[in-house]
Amino acid sequence: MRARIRAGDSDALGELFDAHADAVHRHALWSGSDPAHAEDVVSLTFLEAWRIRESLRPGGDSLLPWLLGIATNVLRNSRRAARRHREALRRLPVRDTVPDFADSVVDRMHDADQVAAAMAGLRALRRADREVFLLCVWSQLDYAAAAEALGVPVGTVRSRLSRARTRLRALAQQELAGTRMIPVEQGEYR
Amino acid sequence: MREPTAPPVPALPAMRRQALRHHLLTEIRRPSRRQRRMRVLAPVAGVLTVAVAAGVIAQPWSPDSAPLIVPVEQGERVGASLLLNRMATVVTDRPGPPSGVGGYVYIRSRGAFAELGDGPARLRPVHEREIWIPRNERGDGLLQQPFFHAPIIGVIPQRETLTEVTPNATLVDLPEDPEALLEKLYRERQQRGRGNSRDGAAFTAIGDILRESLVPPATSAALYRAAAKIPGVEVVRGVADAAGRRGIAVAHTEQSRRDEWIFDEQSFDYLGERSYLVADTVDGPAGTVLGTTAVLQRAVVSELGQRPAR
Repeated sequence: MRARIRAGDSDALGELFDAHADAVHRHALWSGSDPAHAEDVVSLTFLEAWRIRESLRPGGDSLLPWLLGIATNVLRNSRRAARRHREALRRLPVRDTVPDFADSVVDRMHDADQVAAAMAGLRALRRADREVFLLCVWSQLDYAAAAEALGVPVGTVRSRLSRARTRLRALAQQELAGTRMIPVEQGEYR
Repeated sequence: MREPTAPPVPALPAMRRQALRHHLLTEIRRPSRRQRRMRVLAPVAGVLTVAVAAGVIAQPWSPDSAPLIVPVEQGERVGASLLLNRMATVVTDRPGPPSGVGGYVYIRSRGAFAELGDGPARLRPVHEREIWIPRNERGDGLLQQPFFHAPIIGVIPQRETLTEVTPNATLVDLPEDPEALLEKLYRERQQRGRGNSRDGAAFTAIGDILRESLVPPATSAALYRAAAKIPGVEVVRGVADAAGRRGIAVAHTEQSRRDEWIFDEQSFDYLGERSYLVADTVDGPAGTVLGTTAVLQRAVVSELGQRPAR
């Protein structure tokens, strides 16, 4: 698959889309995108993947870490990605606003509340820590895959995840105690 | 305390998914209006923090030139650290760069770079490059090389004033402890974000410093010792620079591409660089040269545009 993508085989990209579009879409929603934006993130992620396909390393298993890494970058800087692919986005088919009959509006609202509740804690994390948490815990990448996705050393993934967890625990305890949130500490870190 | 678990989110509706897939495949099969990509071996912009027009040649582009293919020799991992540490010892005993008069570092080099993105990579013609870099204070520099804009006939050699150039002194102001130096390079790469791997980025950063600057002996030694600590660095023998001088190379390979710094085997003087594919890729078969350079002269001069005696 890697070799085919690198070589510019567009059918391979179609297969990659079939395999991972849902995971990228979920990741976008978990990162706080609204449904319309999450779809744009899916499109932009695969367009970007195609653009930088030659930088794909030859060895390795799943391409999901690579895609989620690209998605993370797109989420970090949607405007730049959108600018780069503005012609393509202009031709994106108009979104159908009528929901699938399968899931009722009530279900959707329930989902949205749950997402908001789960994400409230994550908002207090530094972005770099939140990205690692989302990739490792919610998208279930292992450390090495998350490191590949973010382009950072494995040790960095480990330390960011541990910091994210420590902070989430502290926040949960503080919420119980009814105190204010502690400020996010600033400065350089690994 | 329980950490927040992944909440259920609405799936991408099947119809919409299909529409996005169709859109994606239509878009990527659309003929591109983008111009051919140009890739230049030297990420000089990173060092000088100036935008230098990419792809520069002395003659009109010759589309029929054959790709340059060199044999891909096996690199040696063990030898690399021995060689680099030996180089560090030798360079420490050298006199430093001229410390006398003159506010500018002058470097004359020669090189050729391949154009990528349109089948096998072909080297553009070799051209000469001269650069004047302020020595101690941030300020103007000067670049002289034939500039090339799109495939047109009759290219006019040009000089370009570089503004806000990082002075040589700042560039070589580095820790003399190789561990600390490498840590610094890794940290800076972290700040820049994604790109090539951590080790590849460190190798490139050292290469950038060696290419176009005057480095004091102690700093050279630290750079060599730091390079020796980068995983995957190899020695390649029997290598030639863009001036045809033979030497021994310190190399790093990433994403099927090997970048080499070439040194004189006896004096360990820096000769130039070479970059080529080590596997068959869309840009050509293994051995396809992507870039080749030779540094011909380094000196200190007192004025912008002034040339030392050759």
